[in-house]
Amino acid sequence: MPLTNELIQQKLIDQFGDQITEWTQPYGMLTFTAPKELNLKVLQFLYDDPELRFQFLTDLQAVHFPDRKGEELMVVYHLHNLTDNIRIRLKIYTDIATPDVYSATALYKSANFMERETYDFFGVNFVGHPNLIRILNVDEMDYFPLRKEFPLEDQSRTDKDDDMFGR
Amino acid sequence: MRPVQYNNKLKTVEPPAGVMGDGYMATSLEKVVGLARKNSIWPLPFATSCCGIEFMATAASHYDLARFGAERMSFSPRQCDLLMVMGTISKKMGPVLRQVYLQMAEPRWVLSVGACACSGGIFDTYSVLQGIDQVIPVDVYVPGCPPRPEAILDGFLKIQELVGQESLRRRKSEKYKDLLESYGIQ
Amino acid sequence: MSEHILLPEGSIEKQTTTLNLGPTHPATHGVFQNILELDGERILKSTSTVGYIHRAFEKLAERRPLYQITPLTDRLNYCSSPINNMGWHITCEKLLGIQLPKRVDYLRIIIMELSRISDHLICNSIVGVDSGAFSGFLYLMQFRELIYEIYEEVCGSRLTTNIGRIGGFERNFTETAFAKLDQFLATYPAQLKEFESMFNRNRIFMERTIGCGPISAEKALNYGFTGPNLRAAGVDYDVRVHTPYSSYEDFEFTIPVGSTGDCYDRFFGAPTGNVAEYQYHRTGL
Repeated sequence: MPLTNELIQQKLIDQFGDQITEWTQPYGMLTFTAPKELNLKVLQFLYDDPELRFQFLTDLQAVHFPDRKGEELMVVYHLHNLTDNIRIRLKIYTDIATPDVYSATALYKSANFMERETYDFFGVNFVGHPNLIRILNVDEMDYFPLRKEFPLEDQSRTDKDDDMFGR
Repeated sequence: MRPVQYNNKLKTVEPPAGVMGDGYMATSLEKVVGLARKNSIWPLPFATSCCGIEFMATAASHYDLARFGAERMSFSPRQCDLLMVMGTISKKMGPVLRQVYLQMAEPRWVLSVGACACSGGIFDTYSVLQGIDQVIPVDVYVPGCPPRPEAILDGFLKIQELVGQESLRRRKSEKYKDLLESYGIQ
Repeated sequence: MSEHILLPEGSIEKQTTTLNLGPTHPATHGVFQNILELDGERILKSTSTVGYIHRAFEKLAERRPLYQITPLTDRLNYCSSPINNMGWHITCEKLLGIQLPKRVDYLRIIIMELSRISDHLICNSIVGVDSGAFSGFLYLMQFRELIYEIYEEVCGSRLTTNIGRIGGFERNFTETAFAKLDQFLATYPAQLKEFESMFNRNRIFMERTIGCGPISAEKALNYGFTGPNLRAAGVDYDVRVHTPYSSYEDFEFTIPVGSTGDCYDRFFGAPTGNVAEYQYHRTGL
């Protein structure tokens, strides 16, 4: 039976019940949310199941929603089933005070660098990551730049003419 | 038989001012040394991003850089004369660039190629160094994003002019020492 | 950091050598630091530090309108910037729900395949330069100049092209652009054959690259490889075939797939597959 979004949804509901919420299909890609304690279990199930076989992690990133209190950081996993050519998206919400999420490095080696990047930019602490240090920014940086409250420009610059830049 | 062709379109460069005699020429040492140095510069291509690809096009056979004397690209700073910084320098790379500059021996020149090296370019962000002249002294700036190979060659020719006219005492002068002091380089 | 690294059997060394292949190294082409633990010439472990040209594209893109992000995408993979531009435009069109005429799709394919060729030209010729064979680089860069001339006819710029607009192109391709494209197609295959005859069965090149850095298909998939590197490891997956965008499904082309994933297989990556497509593209228009 060819794998369709409905089949994937059915199998996930059979396995996890109503812990998985917010089923949507923007532009044809099945998207769902799981609680943050279950992220490894969901990923493992999607990896091992002989019909689902989502064994390729395309992307791992985070988004900062400053307005959703208690759930500000969202870690998103994009998975791909290469044989049936289907992609799905898994979202995990976590709050900004204790942003601990289990690390997927044991399952996908590509998650190693991607989780370091997510930590570097958003401050999501991946529990169980072998080497969670900053990857792209300077090691001494003490803030997480891609959070919405931080500015884009370098604040220590003194020679910029403000009226030329529209400020 | 193929007709003989003579190339009449040669352009000879003026010799430096001096006294010519029968089998000798007397001129000042600075001019001779400058002439020798400027036509045999050994550059270090410090290529980090897109301008590095334009540099590769400049070094290829279409816009040959080697005909100006830069045949041997040195990759070790200890053996080069000219540091060509091409591409974006981020704050993480700044100390590395400074270290490379410090490892060069006098006389040394710096050519900053591309908008990102000159002033940060379009990347007005928290992680990009807004111009390499924040960490090292620069001699010639080549603007452009990326600059055309002709522009890079133009910058190189300006460096050649600077090299040819440099006084032998410049590197020990007070003004040069003050310049290095202002960058914190002893 | 201080895990004990075991030397392999039969090694004559007593301990490993630590070598810093520092951020500025000619072979890294850009900046990428590796601290290597070596046993003679074999690399046992390497710790990489990346991020030396971190330019904060994502944060910049948060503050710019959609059409101003195209020049930013140019600089992501600067060897083949039109592909990045097209990728961005296709995404925006999906978001905005714009339907494109077929002609735009075909013109996009022409530009994308040209830039794919130019990217692989750089990659392959630089493999030659790094192993010491400089002439191949000079032969192939000449063709990159021809491709740059075609870009200049279309959009005005050589390297960071900012080609196209969301929904199409800014102007139709001129007759000179097509003439230059025909001239390129006429001369490129012969030169590619000459380059291949210098490298493919060259004993020195083969000894240096066969068996150098092989990656198995399972490991490549787990590490998230895509593109020519994944195909060199033996997985026959190509996005153009499996999820065709911009009317790729109208064309037939062959994709080279390697077996061991070492440098030799990666070298064979792409220039060979593309030229045949072109002839189809021209007739497609």
